[in-house]
Amino acid sequence: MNPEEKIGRMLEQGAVRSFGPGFADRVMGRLSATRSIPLSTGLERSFLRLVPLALAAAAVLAALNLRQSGQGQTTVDAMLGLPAVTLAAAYELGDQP
Amino acid sequence: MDPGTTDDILLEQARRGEDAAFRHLVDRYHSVVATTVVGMLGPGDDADDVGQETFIRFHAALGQFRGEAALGTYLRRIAMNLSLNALKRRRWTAFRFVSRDQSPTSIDEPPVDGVDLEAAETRAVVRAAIDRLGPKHRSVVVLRMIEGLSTKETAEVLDLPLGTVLSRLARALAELETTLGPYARDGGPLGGGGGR
Repeated sequence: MNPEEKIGRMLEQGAVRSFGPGFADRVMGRLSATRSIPLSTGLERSFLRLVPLALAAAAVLAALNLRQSGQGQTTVDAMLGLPAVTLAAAYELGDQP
Repeated sequence: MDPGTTDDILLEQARRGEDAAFRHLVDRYHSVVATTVVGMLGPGDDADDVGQETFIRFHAALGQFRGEAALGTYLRRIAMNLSLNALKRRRWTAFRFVSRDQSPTSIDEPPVDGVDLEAAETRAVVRAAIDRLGPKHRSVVVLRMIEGLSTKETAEVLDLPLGTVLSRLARALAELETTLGPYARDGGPLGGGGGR
């Protein structure tokens, strides 16, 4: 066997052909950790978290509007905070510059 | 999962998000990746990290892999590119911080005749010799000499012309002859023992 062949054999003998035990577990663990969440899923989750807060805020504002409502307003107008549509209000608009 | 399941079937299942199929591919090809990565970087956490990253990148590219190259070749290419990047980082780090607890194994002195080196010692000697090679020569030696790929396959993984692979291999062998020659000559401590 010539020196070149021997060097080749040494290289083969000296090669390490595996990682430490549990390599596949480490890969799968890292994969699940780095697996990215799609944007649409992220937005959907954020939206669902905000829904109860948004509903509560809307209910509070509607209740405040109802308390401050004047006469001649429907309940829906009052809840939405819309001003009463009266002849006097129309004249007031006409007087504005 | 049936061990006889073909790569194509496993790939299709992995593309559909079946982790068990991907894990099976990791089990099947981890030694291919390990030989490349550990050959380039030496054993240790660094190599393990690059090995994991190889499979993470492969998973991310599952949709793009259409089987133009063999799966082993494809994985070797990812592993080799990541290993070369790691070597660049390592050289930059070594340039900035000289570590005292990672002194390279010395192979300056030839071994004493009649003393048998154990497998671990062989690995240390070979490792030190490989570490002395530059990244270009090292990559050719790892693929051609350690992994046993053909020159054509080596050229395919490294994306190089055949002539370049051959000339790099010749230069790398000349360097290895200088460092490993004393061990490889007849009567040397590694003269005995079987191959792979």
